[in-house]
Amino acid sequence: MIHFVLLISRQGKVRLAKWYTQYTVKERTKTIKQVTGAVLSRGPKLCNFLEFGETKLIYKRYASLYFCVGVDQEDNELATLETVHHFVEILDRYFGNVCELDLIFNFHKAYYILDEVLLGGHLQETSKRAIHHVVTEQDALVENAKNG
Amino acid sequence: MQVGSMRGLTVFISDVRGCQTKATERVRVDKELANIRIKFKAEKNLSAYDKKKYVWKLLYIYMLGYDVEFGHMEALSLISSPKYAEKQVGYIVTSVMINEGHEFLRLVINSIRNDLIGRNETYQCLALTCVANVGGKEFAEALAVDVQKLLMSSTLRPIVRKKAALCLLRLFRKNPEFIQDSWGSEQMCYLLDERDLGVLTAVMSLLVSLVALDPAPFSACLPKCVSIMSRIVANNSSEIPAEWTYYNIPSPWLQVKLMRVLQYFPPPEDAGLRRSLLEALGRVLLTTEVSKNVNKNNAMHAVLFEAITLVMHLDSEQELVSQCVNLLGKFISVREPNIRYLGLENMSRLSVLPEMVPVIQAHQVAPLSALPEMLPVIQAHQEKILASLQDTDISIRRRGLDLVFSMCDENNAKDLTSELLKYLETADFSIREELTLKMAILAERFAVDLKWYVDVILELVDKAGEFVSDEIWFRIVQVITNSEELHAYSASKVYTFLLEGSTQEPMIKVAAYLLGEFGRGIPIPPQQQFALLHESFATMGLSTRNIMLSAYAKMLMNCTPDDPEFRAKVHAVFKRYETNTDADTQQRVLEYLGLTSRPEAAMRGVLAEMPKFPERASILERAVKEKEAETTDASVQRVRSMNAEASQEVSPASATVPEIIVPVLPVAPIETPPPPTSPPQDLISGSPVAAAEPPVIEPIAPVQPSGSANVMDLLDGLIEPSAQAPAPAPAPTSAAAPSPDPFAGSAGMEDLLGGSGVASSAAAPAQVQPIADVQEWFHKLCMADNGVLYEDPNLQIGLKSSYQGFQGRVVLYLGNKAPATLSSLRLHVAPIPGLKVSINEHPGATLAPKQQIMVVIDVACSAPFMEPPQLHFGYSTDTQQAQQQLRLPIVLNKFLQPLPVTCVPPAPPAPYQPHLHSGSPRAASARRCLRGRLPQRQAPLVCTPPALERVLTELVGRGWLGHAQRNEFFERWRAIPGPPLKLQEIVQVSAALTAAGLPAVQALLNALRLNVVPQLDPNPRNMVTAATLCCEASMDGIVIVRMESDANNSAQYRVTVSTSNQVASSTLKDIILTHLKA
Repeated sequence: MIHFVLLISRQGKVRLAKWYTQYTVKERTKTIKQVTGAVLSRGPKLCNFLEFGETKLIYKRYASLYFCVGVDQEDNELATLETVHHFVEILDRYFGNVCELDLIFNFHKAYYILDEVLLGGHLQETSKRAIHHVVTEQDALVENAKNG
Repeated sequence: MQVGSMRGLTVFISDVRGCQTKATERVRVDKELANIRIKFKAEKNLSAYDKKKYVWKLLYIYMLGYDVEFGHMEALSLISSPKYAEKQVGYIVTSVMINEGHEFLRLVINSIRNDLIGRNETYQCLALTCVANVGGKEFAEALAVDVQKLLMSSTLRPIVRKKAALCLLRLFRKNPEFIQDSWGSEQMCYLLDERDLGVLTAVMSLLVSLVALDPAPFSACLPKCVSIMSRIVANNSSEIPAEWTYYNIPSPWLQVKLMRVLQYFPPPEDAGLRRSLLEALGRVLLTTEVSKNVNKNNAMHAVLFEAITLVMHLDSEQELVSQCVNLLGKFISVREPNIRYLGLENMSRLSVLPEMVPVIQAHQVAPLSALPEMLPVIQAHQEKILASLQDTDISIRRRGLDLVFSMCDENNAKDLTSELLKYLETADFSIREELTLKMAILAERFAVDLKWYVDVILELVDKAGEFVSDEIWFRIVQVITNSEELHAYSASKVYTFLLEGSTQEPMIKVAAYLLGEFGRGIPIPPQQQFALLHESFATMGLSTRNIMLSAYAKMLMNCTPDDPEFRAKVHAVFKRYETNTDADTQQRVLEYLGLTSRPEAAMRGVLAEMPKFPERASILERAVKEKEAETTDASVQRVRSMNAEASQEVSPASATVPEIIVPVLPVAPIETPPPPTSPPQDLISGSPVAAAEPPVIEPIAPVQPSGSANVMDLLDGLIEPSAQAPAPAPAPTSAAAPSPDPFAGSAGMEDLLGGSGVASSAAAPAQVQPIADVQEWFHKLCMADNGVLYEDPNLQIGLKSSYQGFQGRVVLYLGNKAPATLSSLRLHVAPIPGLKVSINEHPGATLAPKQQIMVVIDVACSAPFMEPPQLHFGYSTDTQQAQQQLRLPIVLNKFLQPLPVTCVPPAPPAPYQPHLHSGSPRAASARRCLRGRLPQRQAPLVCTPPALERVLTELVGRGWLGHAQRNEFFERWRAIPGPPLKLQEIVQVSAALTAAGLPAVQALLNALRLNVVPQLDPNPRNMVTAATLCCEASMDGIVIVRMESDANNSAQYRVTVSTSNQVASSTLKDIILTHLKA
């Protein structure tokens, strides 16, 4: 299963952090620091997998953002890597050519899109259409509530 | 739309982004936090919009890394809001910010449950999402049933049901017992019929987690999984709607999960099932091709690698297996780094029995053995694999190393280890420790020739240097010690390494150990070995130095015939560390000094060669196991022979570098004390307190035999006080007499725990009596620093003390050994003139069962005093009470400081003495060293006749006494007038002492801190002791005691005590007489 998802900018700023297993505040800070250090220092054209203590780190860089996922040792690496890509594609579809700024100003949207892709550390839905549908439905609900 | 609707949030984010420095950002954030705080506090009717906005802001601030704990409650309160927009914010923020197990979560369980069982599917989704992300055990107890209902209800929308499936997965994880009670293959089979692939994917995740725990209850799901897989792999477009394909691959994630589930089940026995499974797998293996599109390629290979693992698990079709191996062989040299990485990883997995894989994943234990037919296939790729060790990517290098490690066998071990040794020199630091450990294991596992093992392992130690962990060198000496044919070989080998200039610390450790143990077997004289080894001494760390010191002692012993010059050299090293602040070092050198100055016989027993280590599994393999068990890494599989017993391993370290045993007295002797006849252990298992004993005049002093007990008694006494205390110096008479004392003999030890019921069975409050002779313990404690002071069926009081000059610290350990709580605990020390007593901290009034508390008493002697202080204490239990008065062993002689004086013997000088009276700088430093141990204010009071004082002052100043001074000393001594300062009495000593003779009397005096100045008295049957009595108020005075034995009656002694104070004289005389008669 996935233990955490971190979106880290090239400057080392956290853009999104989601934890699926229990990490104390201290451990969270420490993990973010370690992941940032490990991932930012890696050159291009290396593999996307890193040993990371008790977990395995699967990461991929999209423009200025690193998407980092900590998974169990025995998890399928490539499947996880494509899960990350799946998430990115959905963000892209929702925002239309997603960039880092979209995620900064709409971090709350990013969180609930993530909640539709992953749940409790497991992949929830692989259909982009289904996810897009749910997310726009939610937006409509919020909008209605405001108007009504 | 969403952005515009919350302008405040956007402005805030822009502001924060505009901050140039961390400090300005903090200012901005603090301002915002203060604002939010005020809003939440002051305005009760905050609009929904505002509330939402502030909580989002809090989440943003939280992401920046600031503490927003005060906002948790606000976020939670939104969950119970009736409006969707607020509820949604509440749920999301809660599941992002608040950790599972946070106590606040408990407060909202009810609100969440209301949403779950309500009719609104949107609310159900929010609630399920939150629980699936942060739910803990309490959630599992409260909500599992409701979530199950949601999952099983086919009328709900797929979105609710897939969330329910993953939510249930989490709740099962949190509360696994729940599965057996309420969830089985019936439900799972029903769910596997699901047509919606989103729900099916989620259900498959649930199934993977369940079968990982225990596949047996779900075996009925196996056929269904196989049929789903056949359907998907066949890629019938009518089966898989386009939205669930990923780059034209039918849901690769679902395929991976299906194959994962199948790996947990045993291979299907039904032939038809098996055939369709193998067909599907064959199709995957065949149709996978390299694609230009990265994502497509990844997705296809994700399935392929999972299929390979499954084929290995099924392990039947040789054709498929060899197909897999070929694929992997291709993968390990492709350009794409991810595939290369996975190729290496899977190839390592291949070299272990596939049946074990699921077991490992489920239980993380791994008794493994290689899959023999696979090894040659893998070894065919040896060149490529070794090349991967040079990859630019550390991740790939690690996998390569794993693979090299697992493909090793007897045939290629020599090649591979020499390759690895080469690689070690260039490997980066982050990998070296692991590499070293693994190589050490390989060398041992595949050592056909033991000498080869020594060659490789020593080269490894030499090259790896600081990366050699303790386990490795422990193991090396363990292996070598246990194979006699290696002793001399390894010693000469290690000597060569030293000669060639190897100075890495682990190498020195190994060298010190091997030369110390087996150095006698090589033609190089110990003097040379010592000289070579000692070159590195100065640069070594403490633990290495300690090992080296032990080696020196052994070398000294190996040196036959005795070489005084060598002895002097070694002793000079020891002496330099006599005052080392590290208790272990100090104790070692003091003991080694004592031991190496003693006759051969005693020395051989203690410094003899280490016995063989018990044969157990290698601690190295254990180290790997531990390392990998932590990480639940699949590479656990690679460690092939592990032994569960290894956890009790006795490493050489525990024999050579022991942990200092902290001499806290046990509440009740639970452990059987170590037999005092095991010399190598006893030598070093003493407590640091023993090492911190007062300065000694003679190196022999700390190990002087007391009574008939052996050399080790002083040290043993600390560890097993209750066993020794009642039976000091077992004299033939007392040992023969049957004793009612439950402690007599070690058999009585067990009675302590069981026997307590006998005394406490009385119903009415009874007076508790001590269960042994308190007086005897008191006497013992007058001579020792540590021991048992008091013991009754409920309470044991142990005592530890140390004295420095006029001050002392006595620590009492009160241990409750009864099953009941001791209440109204009182403790009081009555003051006596001349002694200041202060209890640092009074203990509480109660003492729980098995609890031990410490009472620290500081004492200071201001003037000589006669009787020791009394300890009044009492306590009560439900049925008993105790009220006791005990003499504390704070007696006047505790405040004596021995004078460091030696005499020039009339006969040939002892080998270690010359430097003391040579004029060399070293002698001066040695004298300084001796003087340094005396209290600074050392200016003896001129109360005894001045002439004697002068002689003694000179003795002290020079540290030794020549013939002339000795004669002068006795002239003056005889000139001192009699009472009240000089007291004399003739005494009949106890039978035990009579039997043991002079050495025992000397030991007794030493124990009383009246250290005998050797050879001061020309008559060998007489003894003179010299010490200073330290008092705070008056100046220190010199105490001289002379014991003259009667040549015709060995039981008769004449004791003369002379001090500068009449109270001191009479008190000390009484103390000495009491102990002599005891």
